[in-house]
Amino acid sequence: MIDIWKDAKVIVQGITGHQGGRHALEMRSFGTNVVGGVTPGKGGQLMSGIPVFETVREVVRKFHANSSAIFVPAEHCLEAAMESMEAGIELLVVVTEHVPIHDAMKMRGRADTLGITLIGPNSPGLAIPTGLKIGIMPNHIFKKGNVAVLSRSGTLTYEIVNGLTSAGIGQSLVVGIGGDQVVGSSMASIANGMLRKERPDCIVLIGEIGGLEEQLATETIKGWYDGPIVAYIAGRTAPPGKRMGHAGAIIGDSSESYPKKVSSLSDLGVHVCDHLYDVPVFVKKASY
Amino acid sequence: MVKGQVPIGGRGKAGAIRKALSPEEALDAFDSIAGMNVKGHIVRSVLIEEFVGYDMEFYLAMTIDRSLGRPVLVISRKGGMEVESTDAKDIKKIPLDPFDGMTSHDLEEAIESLGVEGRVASGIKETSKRIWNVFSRSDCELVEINPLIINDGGQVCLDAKVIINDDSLFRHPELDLDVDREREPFEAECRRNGFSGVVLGEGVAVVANGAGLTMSVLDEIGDAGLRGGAFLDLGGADDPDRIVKAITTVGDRTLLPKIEGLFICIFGGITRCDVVAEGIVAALSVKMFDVPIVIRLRGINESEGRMILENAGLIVHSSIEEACAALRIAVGSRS
Repeated sequence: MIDIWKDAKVIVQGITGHQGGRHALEMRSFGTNVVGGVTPGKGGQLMSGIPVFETVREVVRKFHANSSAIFVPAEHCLEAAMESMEAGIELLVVVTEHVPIHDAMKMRGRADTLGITLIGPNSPGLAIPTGLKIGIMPNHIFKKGNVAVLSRSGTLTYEIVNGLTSAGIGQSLVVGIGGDQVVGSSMASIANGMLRKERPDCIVLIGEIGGLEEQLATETIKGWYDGPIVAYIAGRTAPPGKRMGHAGAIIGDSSESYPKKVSSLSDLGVHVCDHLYDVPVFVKKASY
Repeated sequence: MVKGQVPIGGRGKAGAIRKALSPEEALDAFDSIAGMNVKGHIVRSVLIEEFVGYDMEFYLAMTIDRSLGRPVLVISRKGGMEVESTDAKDIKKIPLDPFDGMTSHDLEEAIESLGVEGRVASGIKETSKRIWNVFSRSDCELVEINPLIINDGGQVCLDAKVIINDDSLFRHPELDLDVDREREPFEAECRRNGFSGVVLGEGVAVVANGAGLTMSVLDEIGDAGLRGGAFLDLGGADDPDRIVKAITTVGDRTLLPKIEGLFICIFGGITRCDVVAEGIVAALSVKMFDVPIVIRLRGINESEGRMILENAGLIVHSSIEEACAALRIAVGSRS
């Protein structure tokens, strides 16, 4: 994988759309090296000084782009993701919401085969407060520091990161893996790929009911990290059976409820906060 | 067999499936099942079919393993109503490649795990291929046959369940689904407007941006001793018209007759708080709520947003716990 701390050259697929254009500029003002945009049929123009290309291959050839943020509509998202993976993009953030689940499985399958880091779909992206952001997280909430945050949601992440920053706690890496049932990178693979070398002072996991994401991440992190892990899990009062983001068939249902999740995380030595505003308090207690 | 048709499991236990031995019994069963409420779903159609005896029954399904991010073939010799409680060792799960689909190797593995051969094995292979075709062509999250039975005449799918992925419906006009038929009116209205809405019962309605934040606010409301009654996730909220639409939808008593209060919780990350505030003021001027309202705003242009709301006579809280405490007092004093 590319060393994203140093070398990310980012393109925006769907840059001529409302969200794509706006966030390309937001990323740039955060410090991200946005080298170009791609919109088929609109190549050759400039979008607030950012050159727009017809294909990913062109911008990879010209500027050695290695990362992409995808904002194209859901129905074209698989096509866009395949194009950039085939053109040699190594880190892919899919912001698009409502991507068909079979398309998400295909994106993930291809990324796994090619050894590409896929974040999303339905991801707010990633931010490294020293000056790299790929995605849509708000620029103003971050502060440089050494706490890593891995999350399954968007605004809840902003709330908690904002809370950390207000409490004087800075972050080294914040990643939202995406809220869909099937996403590319898991919290576990992000931790193994991006956090292992960095050794944060504390790792914060922001999770929710459903799935086994947080448990699996903790198990793998514990293999190489003996620092504090603080978690917050949303959906404590969600009634069973209501679809609050989970379509559970017959696979692994019981371990996905709030009490099971909390008890298995606690057994692994994670401090699980009852309230989101407790997160900064416990991070401070654990790491200073 | 007389079977009530509802899009939820557990019909047998609820009494919505009955065996009839005569036309009179069938009529009797029909009368009791039609219109029955099964876990919130009204039985609007009833399937009457021949009773089929069998020698062997199987569970056969295609679904998605979210941790692996792959399609899985799930197969078991123990079919019937109780498959959810079947021991994990009796269920074989075979992950498939999303591009290659079901290969002959996958099928061999499935057959081996079942320990069947000959006519039975070839029948199950054929049916497995077919459920893969349905699963992949129609963008399904689940295609389940339970039970698949084998008797002298061959194999029969006695019951089946299919879940189509909501996000894929746009490319399946051929299915011609009335997706709102089984939804709560509030949930249907939310969906039509691009919001995500859920009815929970009697209690406080939450309007927030983002699914995680919405769930988190409901948890805090629960801790404050109140009940969550419904939620509406705005998603992106940088358009005041969307805020107006969201609040008037929640305030519509024909959609949500049982709400006790309203909690509006916005984190302005990309969304600006002043835009949100203008939307809230506009909505409340159109729609008079007869329940207590609390508002919590944080983020970009927070002070401008606060000023707009305060000028309209509304109180703004900057923390969720403070807003919950205020709501508790307001709702509590009414009941």
